[in-house]
Amino acid sequence: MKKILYLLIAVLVLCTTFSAFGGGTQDTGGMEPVRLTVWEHTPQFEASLKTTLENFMAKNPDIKVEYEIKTPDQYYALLATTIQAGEAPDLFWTNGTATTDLGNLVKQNAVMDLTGKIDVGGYSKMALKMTTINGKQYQTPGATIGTRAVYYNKDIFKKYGLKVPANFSEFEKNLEILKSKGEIPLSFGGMFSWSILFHFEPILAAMAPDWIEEATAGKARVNDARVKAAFKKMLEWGEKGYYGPGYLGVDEGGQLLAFSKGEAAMTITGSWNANTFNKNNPDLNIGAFQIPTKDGRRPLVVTYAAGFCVYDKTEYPEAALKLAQYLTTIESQQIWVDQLKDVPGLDGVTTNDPLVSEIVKNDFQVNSFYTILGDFAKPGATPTQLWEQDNVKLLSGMYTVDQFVNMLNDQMR
Amino acid sequence: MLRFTRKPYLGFIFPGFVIYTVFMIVPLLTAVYYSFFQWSGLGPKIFIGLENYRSLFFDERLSGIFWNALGNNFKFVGIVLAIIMPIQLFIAYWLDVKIIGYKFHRTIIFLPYVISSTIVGFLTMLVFNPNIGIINTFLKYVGLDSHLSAWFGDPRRAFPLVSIVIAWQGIAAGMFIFLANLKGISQNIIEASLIDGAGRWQRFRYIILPSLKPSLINNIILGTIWGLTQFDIPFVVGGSQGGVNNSIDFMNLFFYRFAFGGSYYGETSMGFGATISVVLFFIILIVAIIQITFLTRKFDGGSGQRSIK
Repeated sequence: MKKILYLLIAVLVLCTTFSAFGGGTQDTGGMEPVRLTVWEHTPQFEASLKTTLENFMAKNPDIKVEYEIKTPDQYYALLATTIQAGEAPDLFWTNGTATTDLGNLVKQNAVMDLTGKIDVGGYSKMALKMTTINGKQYQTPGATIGTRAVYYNKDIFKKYGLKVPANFSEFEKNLEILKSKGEIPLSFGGMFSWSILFHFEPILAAMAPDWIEEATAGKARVNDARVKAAFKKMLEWGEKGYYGPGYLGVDEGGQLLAFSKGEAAMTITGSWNANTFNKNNPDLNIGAFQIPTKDGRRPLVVTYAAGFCVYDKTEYPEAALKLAQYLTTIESQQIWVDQLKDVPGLDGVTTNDPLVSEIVKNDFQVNSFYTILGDFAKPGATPTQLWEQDNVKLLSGMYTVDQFVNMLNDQMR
Repeated sequence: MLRFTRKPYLGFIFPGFVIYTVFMIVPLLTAVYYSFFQWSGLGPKIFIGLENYRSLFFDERLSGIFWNALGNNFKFVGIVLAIIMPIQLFIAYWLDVKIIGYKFHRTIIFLPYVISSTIVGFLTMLVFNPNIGIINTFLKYVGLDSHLSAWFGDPRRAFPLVSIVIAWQGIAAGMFIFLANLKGISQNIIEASLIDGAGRWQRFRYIILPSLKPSLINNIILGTIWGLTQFDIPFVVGGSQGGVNNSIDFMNLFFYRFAFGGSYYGETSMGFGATISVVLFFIILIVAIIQITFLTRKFDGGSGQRSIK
């Protein structure tokens, strides 16, 4: 009798449990709202993303989109974890083909093939190169050109009678004068690899634009004397104290903060940070320029931004695709540029921001050093990874310039 | 059912056994399994036998990183046992004898422990920022410009500094274990020693210290595990690369950037990450077994009793 009683109780419990699980689905009657999640890798893009998504939702009231902003240092680790768990966001940013991450995600069938599903007709070849692998479109192209610039404090320049340099030696002269006046000439975060990259590339572009042109065509090696000279110049400025007392202990946040607070006369960083300084300090009176070459030409280091991938196993492929299509339109790109105040990278998208206008004043455009490393890597080798992991060791003196460029060169075709 | 009736203690053990198996044994065996594969975490797994272990111990680049990170872990364990633990004991003793303002001191010491490690790391970066941080600003203000430093950017200073920050945040934990133990020492014994004329040092050496055996053993073991599992503060102040020249790299950071961060030749590598975690697990296990064996024997006076009392 007891056994029968236990059995009945067990059946009752099971029935209750299953009906509870099933009830949720039945109640909605298939009218569950579509909820998409989008991931961005850095707070700098939050305002742009937020406004863009708000506009999308206004046009598509049946789709609710939430976004999450991560930090660059943890972004890919978190993304990998969620993909492994099958819980990845419906759309997510990657740095496209600039790093190996998009390629890895494609290999893992984690991103949807968007070829023919989004309209990328108006985008330049360079922009599409960032988001295509083996001719297939895996990501929406970005709205902006991610360039680098020297931001300068106009009040400090005025105080010492300095002008925007007309050539490389004038730029160095400015550094020397600022140092002699007790100022920190250049705020520089030498602790992290990306800050070093964005600092180094304009120096290389100003000192060796001919090398960049040759290397882009596959005709120059990384251990070339011109590259070594640019690295040595960077180290020389550090030794002369142009970066302040301990730039190896400064991270990117500290670099931007020092400039925002008016503690440094200049800083070299990405164009996407143009908006950060005045957010940090609205009273900061800043301008921007490109480091000129010795004969006074202004090179602009150009890398195109990348947009968003669609998760291959998204629960709502139609809605996710709709959002991807919207993110590719001129309308959404214009919103992005307006909010970010960055350099537009698509015909039809414009900007009136005075600081951006100063950033883009150039005489010629050059490729990014990092892009060159990625484009000419030996099969199976990753010079970009070596660069990311070991460039701090060059600044700290653990590697000499020769050692470092030879290590990079060994990884290149 | 019959077995449970005959051996009722199995019924008490069973839930714990299931939970421990599911959350400890299964993940450990899974990690061991993955360590034999080349696997990015997604897609197909390729069986490569002991190749991940060979890379970890003998690959020129990877083994260098591994030994450096492991060395830092053991250096920190040394600091915990030789410096931090005596300080914890010292503070606990003074709080127990109720020095003036002991409640205030207790609160101040405990306060960092409840602050998130991320916030501690962030504040540390602000304080030690060479350009705008309070330390260098102060040194400049008082004219000690020659002592300005990159702090965490200086590979020689980064490790001692990060150790100080970690100790500052975590010192309360072990200290409270000592304090709880001290509170349990009978006042009668202390009073008897006073009547017998024992001085402060004699009282500490011959009465209090032997009575602290349980907390000493616990703190030595927990402190060692603390030292071998560092991650959060070094990560915030030095990034996943473990600071300049990997000066504050630890095993968990090493694991993190290879398992998830794409440091294994440009790809995430759960297989290699699993290898690191398996090796770290066995290192911690061996160290813990040695400590437990040695400490219980020493404190039990060779009586052969192995249990931690």
